[in-house]
Amino acid sequence: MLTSEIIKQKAKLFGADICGIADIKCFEGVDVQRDPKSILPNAKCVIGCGFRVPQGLYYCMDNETQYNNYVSLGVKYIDEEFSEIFLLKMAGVIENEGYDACVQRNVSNLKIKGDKSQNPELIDTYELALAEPVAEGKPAPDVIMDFSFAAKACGLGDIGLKGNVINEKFGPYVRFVFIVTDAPLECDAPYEESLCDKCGKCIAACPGNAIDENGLDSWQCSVYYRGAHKSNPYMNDDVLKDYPNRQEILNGEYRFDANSARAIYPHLKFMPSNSTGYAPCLCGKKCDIVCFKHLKDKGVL
Amino acid sequence: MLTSAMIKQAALAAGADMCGIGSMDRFGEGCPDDMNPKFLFPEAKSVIGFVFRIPRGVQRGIEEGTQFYQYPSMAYGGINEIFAPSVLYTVGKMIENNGYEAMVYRNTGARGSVSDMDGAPGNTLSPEEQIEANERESSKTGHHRSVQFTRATRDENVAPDLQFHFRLAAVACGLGEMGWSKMFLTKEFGPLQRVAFIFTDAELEPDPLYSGEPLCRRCMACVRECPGGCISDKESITVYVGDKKCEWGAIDEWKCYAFYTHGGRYYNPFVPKSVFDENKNGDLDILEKGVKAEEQGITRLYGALEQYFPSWVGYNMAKCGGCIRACVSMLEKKGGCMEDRFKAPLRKGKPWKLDR
Repeated sequence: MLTSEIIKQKAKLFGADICGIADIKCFEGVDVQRDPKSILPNAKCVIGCGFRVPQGLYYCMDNETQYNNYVSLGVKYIDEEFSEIFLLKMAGVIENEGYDACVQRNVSNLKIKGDKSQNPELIDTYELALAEPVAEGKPAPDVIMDFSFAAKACGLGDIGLKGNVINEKFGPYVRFVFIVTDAPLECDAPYEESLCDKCGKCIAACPGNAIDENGLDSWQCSVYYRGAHKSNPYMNDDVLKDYPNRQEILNGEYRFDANSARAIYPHLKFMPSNSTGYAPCLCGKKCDIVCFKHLKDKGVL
Repeated sequence: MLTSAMIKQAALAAGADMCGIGSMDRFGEGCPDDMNPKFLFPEAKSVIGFVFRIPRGVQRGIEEGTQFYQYPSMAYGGINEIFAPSVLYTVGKMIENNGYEAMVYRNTGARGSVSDMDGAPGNTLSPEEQIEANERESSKTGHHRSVQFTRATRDENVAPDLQFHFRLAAVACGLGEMGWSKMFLTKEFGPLQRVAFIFTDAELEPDPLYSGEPLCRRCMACVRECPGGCISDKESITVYVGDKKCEWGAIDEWKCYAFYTHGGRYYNPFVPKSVFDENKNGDLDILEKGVKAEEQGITRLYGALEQYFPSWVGYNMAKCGGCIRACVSMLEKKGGCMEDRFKAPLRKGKPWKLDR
């Protein structure tokens, strides 16, 4: 019989650092375009698994000596390779017991209909704005789960000020995958603690002023993530030299929306990205680094 | 001594779901040189086939009409590009450690010297791989194949890259048999798997060719549910692997390409009805008017519709899945293989069709 214990043992064996299971009831009331039951109507639970992003990748960026490996190993490798092998192996375990395993890797380049935000990690994203439901009562495809909400429901962490998950062992240095299943597993309680104490250090650390008390401005973040600021070590006098408000941009004072962000992307070519589809991370993820240090200093992690 | 049992143990431990072994003499006279793996590694004595299941759960979203992304990403890209190579690498090292050659061969769709559409030589597209539409300006081709430059390097050789028929090679390894839809079927997973291979000069005990009850019931659900009507219910193709007869329905491969990638008016929820109604420049004639499909028309169609579901996983986003889902649901209901595998069936009602 398939049990939660077996699932968690296998998850650990196959490489997950953390694993939790959410009762499908936790998703009652969520947007149908994000509802796991829209994918598997008789789903009983959602299995969440987290993979740590090695601290050393952040250390190098904090030390301003190495930026490429964070995206290559900490983002792309985990999302595109490690987690796919992991999910395929986990699916085998679940299927062998006769249950469906609707594996959910991070859908990084697509946005559900109506989601106007950007994913700063990608060279760009596409909103499925023209998608139509295939039948009455169904959501427009593609259904894309809210990974932060799901991680909290699985008991794997708190949602921080900028919408990301903070785990009590790895802080913000963690990425997730999920499996929607009809297997009747014993579920964990949603995470109820407050790991994020709203200290505001992430707000102060962002060179693009992309975070405020209301959360993350993803378009603003996308511009500064790829280096439109003076603390970017690759910045030079030629970059944006024809922009009249260059200084304002470099100081993080200019506000970007979807149009102005997409217009400036081609001028921010500090590192190759076409071969991977991922943007280089030249803000150094200062927001996450200060968060991690703060939580560590507090003795929370 | 390296044995078949050792190979299979290593394969399953590395993550393959099944492993079977065939002898090279099963690629007989009928196998065209351009697709005959004997030219890859003439000293090879055995072919090792690895099966990687496609989780049925990645078909679930398409069956519900709510999620199309996970299937091509996880079950094409994830298996072909990442998972299968990791297993081939591990088992290949184990074979080398025992003093034999391990000529590993992952799925190389679209990179062969002959078309994986119809076996014809020349410069053609592949239904699996995404057309690199944005980079077409800098290249003669909109895809990865560079066969316009390929040529045999010796008189007795064939042109690189040699791509053999994966599904028939899987038959040669005793893993299953061909279904009417041309999908490879196994007792364990029906049509839900991908395969990869190692050719080796180790002489291994081969598995017998599959000789159990027919896995394909010839129910013709795949014919009925193909949105493009691409599979014939009467005409068939027959080949032999060893002495095993393999027969499948004749397929209009180019038409299949068109409907597989773009679904058509009734099966592509990402393209508004108005786009099909307008059919600008006749770009959608293959889907809308039954115009004969060929590469040029496919490229126009692709250019017109790609924008509605851009992909950068490198694989085309499956929009129909008609034959595979029809096959699974029928096998679950009527048997042949897959029955009793899942507690709940894939299909619980009538499959969806857009009201347009």
